[in-house]
Amino acid sequence: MAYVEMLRARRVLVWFAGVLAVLVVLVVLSATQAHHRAMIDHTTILLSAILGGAAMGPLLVAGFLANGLNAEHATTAILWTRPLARPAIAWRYVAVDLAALVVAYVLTIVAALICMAAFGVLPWLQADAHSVVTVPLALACPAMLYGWIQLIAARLPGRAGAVAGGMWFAMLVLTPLLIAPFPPLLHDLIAGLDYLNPLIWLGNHGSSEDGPMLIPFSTGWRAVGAGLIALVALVASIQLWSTREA
Amino acid sequence: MIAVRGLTKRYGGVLAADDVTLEVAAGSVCGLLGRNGAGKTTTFRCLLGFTQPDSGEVRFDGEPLAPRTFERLGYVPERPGLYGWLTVAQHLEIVRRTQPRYDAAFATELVATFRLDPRKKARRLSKGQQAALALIVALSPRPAILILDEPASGLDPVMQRVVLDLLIDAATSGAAILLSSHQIGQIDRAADQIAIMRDGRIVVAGGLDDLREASRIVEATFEGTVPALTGLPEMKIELAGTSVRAHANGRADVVAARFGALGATSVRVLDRSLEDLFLDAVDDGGDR
Repeated sequence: MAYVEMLRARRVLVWFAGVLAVLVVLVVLSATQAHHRAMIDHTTILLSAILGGAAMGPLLVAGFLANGLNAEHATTAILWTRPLARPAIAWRYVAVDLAALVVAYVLTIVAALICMAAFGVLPWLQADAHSVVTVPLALACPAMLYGWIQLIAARLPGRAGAVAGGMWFAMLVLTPLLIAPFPPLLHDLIAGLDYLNPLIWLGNHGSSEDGPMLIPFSTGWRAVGAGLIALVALVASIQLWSTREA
Repeated sequence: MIAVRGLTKRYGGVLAADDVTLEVAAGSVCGLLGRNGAGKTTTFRCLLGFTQPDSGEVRFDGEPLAPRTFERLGYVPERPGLYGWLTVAQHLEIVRRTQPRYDAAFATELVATFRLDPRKKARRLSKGQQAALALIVALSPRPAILILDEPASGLDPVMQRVVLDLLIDAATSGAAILLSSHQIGQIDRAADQIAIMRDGRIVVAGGLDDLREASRIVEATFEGTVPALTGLPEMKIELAGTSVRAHANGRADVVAARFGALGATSVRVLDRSLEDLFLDAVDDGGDR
């Protein structure tokens, strides 16, 4: 059944690549304006910043990919009458989707590099100590978002799109709220929720500008942590999905 | 072979399937009949593991349902759950990739028979064509066990006949087929045994010929008055003037002979249609 999800993921990636292509064209056209180029000072651009920022691509795609398994409630008559155990079917879907997240990540990096080349800043790109470990983190965070959507929507057939929308809203709202001057109890509640926020794991925002990081781990350990959360969410979601009644 | 024993499923306070027991042997077509809400679809869902029964046992060829059962089990749902965004050919590709016994030549033949365009997306197919595609998905691996919930709904009469012929061919090849339909004519044509459900229970079950034989009615007319009806087996008798209708319970010949001996001026043995059997079985006394 990975075949169906491969077709679905391909469709999502084609759309995503199309949107990226349009954005790249707009950026390249913009770069041809001389005054824009002049505004950019010579500086160093850390590769880890590009690799981390490129996680936004698979983060966006994760919401669409998570629809796949969830949408199968309408095709149970085909899906659940294959000679495969339901968890095996679900894991195949997840494997395809995670592979698609990697493709989305690569596409985003390529798009970023093209944009940088258009502005003539590509030579300023410099590898740094965090570059290598940023890659697994940038993949683990979208996987974490994907896992959350799967988990929340596992018993809500056909609602993964709405769950994805809600997740994005929550992630975007919870991230700035972390540094807002709320009373301690409310702040702790927001911080607690932010431990589950993929954007926090990716960006590691602190509780204040100079204060301690919410997740006081190195980039590598954050990648491991986000990956483990994604794994736990996926295991739980597949358990729920496989045992639901059609 | 499909064997169901004591299958019970309750949704809240509603007993959707109540101690359902039936058996469909290899090479046999069992028509499952019942009014809407009688429990047919619930029974199917329990059979296929889509929902867990509260109690009871389901076995296919002696084994409980397991993923590998679906290598030899085909299912056609009441509403074709197709991938609207995939083409006919892509649906067949799903089956090819997942069913070890997929018969590509047979699938191609079925696509031609139902006049489907392999390049057409499922959502662009008519209702009947979608039903046909769902059938092809189920039939193309030539399953030894077939469970079909209203398989011919939406098909035109010619295609309905084609479907029934396919099912009869499959049964002739040794498949055990459980078929639900509201079109009694379809069941009458394809099935050799029936089970009629009412309020979640199977109220009538058996071979179609046996049930017909058992349900024959002997109608006799007497001159003047009806004499004392002695020497008859125990059965339901309706009197109307000088006429007598006896529900012969499979002993029509004996009853007809006895009416003759009692002086009946005319004796007729009436065969009953499957529709009559069905209506009798589901009659709750208030609807008709």
